[in-house]
Amino acid sequence: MKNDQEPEPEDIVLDRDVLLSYDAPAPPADLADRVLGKLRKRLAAQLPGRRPRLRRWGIVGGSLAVAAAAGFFGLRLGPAESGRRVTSARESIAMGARAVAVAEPQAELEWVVARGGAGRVSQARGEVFYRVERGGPFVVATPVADVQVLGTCFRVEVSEMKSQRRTIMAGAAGAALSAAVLVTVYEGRVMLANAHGSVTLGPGEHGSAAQGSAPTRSAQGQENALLWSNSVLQARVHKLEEELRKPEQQADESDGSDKRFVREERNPSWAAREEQLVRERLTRFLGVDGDRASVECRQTCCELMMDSPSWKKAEKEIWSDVGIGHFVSKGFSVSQQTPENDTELADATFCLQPQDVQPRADADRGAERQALLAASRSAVEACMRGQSQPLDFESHLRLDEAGAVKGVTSIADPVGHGAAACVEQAILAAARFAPTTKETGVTIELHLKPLP
Amino acid sequence: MGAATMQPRANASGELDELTLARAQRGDEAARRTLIVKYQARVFAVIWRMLASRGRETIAEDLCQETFIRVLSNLSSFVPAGPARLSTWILTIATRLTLNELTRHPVSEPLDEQMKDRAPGPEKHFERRAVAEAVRRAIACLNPEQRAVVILREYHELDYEEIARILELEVGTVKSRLARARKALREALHEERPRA
Repeated sequence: MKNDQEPEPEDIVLDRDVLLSYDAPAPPADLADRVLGKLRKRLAAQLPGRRPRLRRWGIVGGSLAVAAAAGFFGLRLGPAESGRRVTSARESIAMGARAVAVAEPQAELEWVVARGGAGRVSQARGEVFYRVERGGPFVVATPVADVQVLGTCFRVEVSEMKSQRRTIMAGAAGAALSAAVLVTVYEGRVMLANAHGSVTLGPGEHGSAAQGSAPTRSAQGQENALLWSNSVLQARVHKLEEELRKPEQQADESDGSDKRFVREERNPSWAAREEQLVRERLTRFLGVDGDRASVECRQTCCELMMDSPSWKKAEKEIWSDVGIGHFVSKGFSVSQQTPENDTELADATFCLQPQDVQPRADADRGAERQALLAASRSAVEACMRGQSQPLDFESHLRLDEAGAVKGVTSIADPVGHGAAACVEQAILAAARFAPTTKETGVTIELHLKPLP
Repeated sequence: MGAATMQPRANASGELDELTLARAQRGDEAARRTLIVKYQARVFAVIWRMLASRGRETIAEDLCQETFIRVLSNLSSFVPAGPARLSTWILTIATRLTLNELTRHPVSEPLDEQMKDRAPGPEKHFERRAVAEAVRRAIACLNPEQRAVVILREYHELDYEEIARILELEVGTVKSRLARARKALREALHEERPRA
């Protein structure tokens, strides 16, 4: 590269005193305050990127006392309304502005709905139909599983059943009463979850859960829906009455994507296609089990919900060019609430810019990464021959619009592993990326074992 | 393209201590403030000198703020045992933001302004200011990439490998750019102010 005629930099003498006379002034005294203030504002405005962790789902397995739930929501959203009911006849119960429950006789309910709309219902027994509008977490806790509402109409039946279990108190074998829950979904989606697993249910599906086992799903005909049509009708009438009383809400571009999502009407053709594309991406490139994630799109915004283990898998790359960033030409807004433990749900929404709503024909960095991994496999394995210890290797490739690698940052664990540089070279040698309309990035993560 | 090296680099003196860095990475506001205060003079100086134009105060402040916002937003991804020192990583962000700015909004001063300033005042105490102004003009005549190399090397004493990493260049390219920049600077300074 270097021209032999060219002198070394040190050969050209400059007067150092002269150079150093070109002083720079001190930075503004309040620079740190300004930076930290701006950073807080940016985070609060949920500009592209991640927003701070906000606990949103307060789900605890089993029957959480309503008082505890009230404390939880009270801390964050302020007190609102709560109630308790044991029904003797079918009864329609408004739970805040978002939810209506139609409870059959002998149902037992306690609920707390915070001013911000977050709600938690403890349903100890009985059959209850719910209609819940979007707008925040809403959980129906039963003795054996929690029903986490992704919207909108569903029924929860809690029944007692006999099981052959050894009771601790008696210390003898015998019949003990246990509970089971059956959930039927009419519109929207719910996630039925307990400590053993979770299942997402869509319209026409039902799921069940019993003590000590993971919830399961099975297809459901329309019979139950017909049986409950009266309840649905009642709930809708009630909801319409509520809506008539509410002031009209206008969508605002400055709102976070979660609020924009709630206000958007569904565009069936775009939404269905986008949901399919997002689901495929989550499954194919981020390793998310399709049964453990829910995707719902409207006009420009989509909402993703998934259980905590799935979120942990996807979190690192979900907004990258391998993940949802693939659909984006410049920027997009994102809101997300990340789970704090394994029983909580992740809830993320993103909204596309108008120009990205139409399908884009850009190169797919996810597919290209898979091709790169396949193409570099033998060379990478060769690097590990004769090594004595495993290598965790991560390399982030920065690509320009032409698809050329313009930079690479690699991390090896353990640092200084003898194969790390070789692995990096093997990856770079196999890197083939097509041109796109933007600069992109691709992360390669490898867990390599030593080979003889 | 600059391939990263795999060797760890211990914190040199002048770097933020590991504990404060770890706290800042976790979002501790006091630690973040310490980080900004620690590096703000270096960052501001790089940006200020690279802009090398009149009326740059506001732009320099904005770029400096943006640098630290990006630093703090991405701090969790910084690996202390990785190939770059924290200061180099921060200067990388500052340098690239400034290069972007120079590319998008190149500044050229009106000729009469240059001519007016060419003759320094006769007073002794103005001499240093006049020399500094001559250097500024000489640097302003360099293209943005040469400016970056000169400033990182001459004013911030980064080694060639660090500059190569920051600018994503080969070390040989850094050296040749520096040689050309030094030569251009020397000629510009001799033309402007023979005493230099």
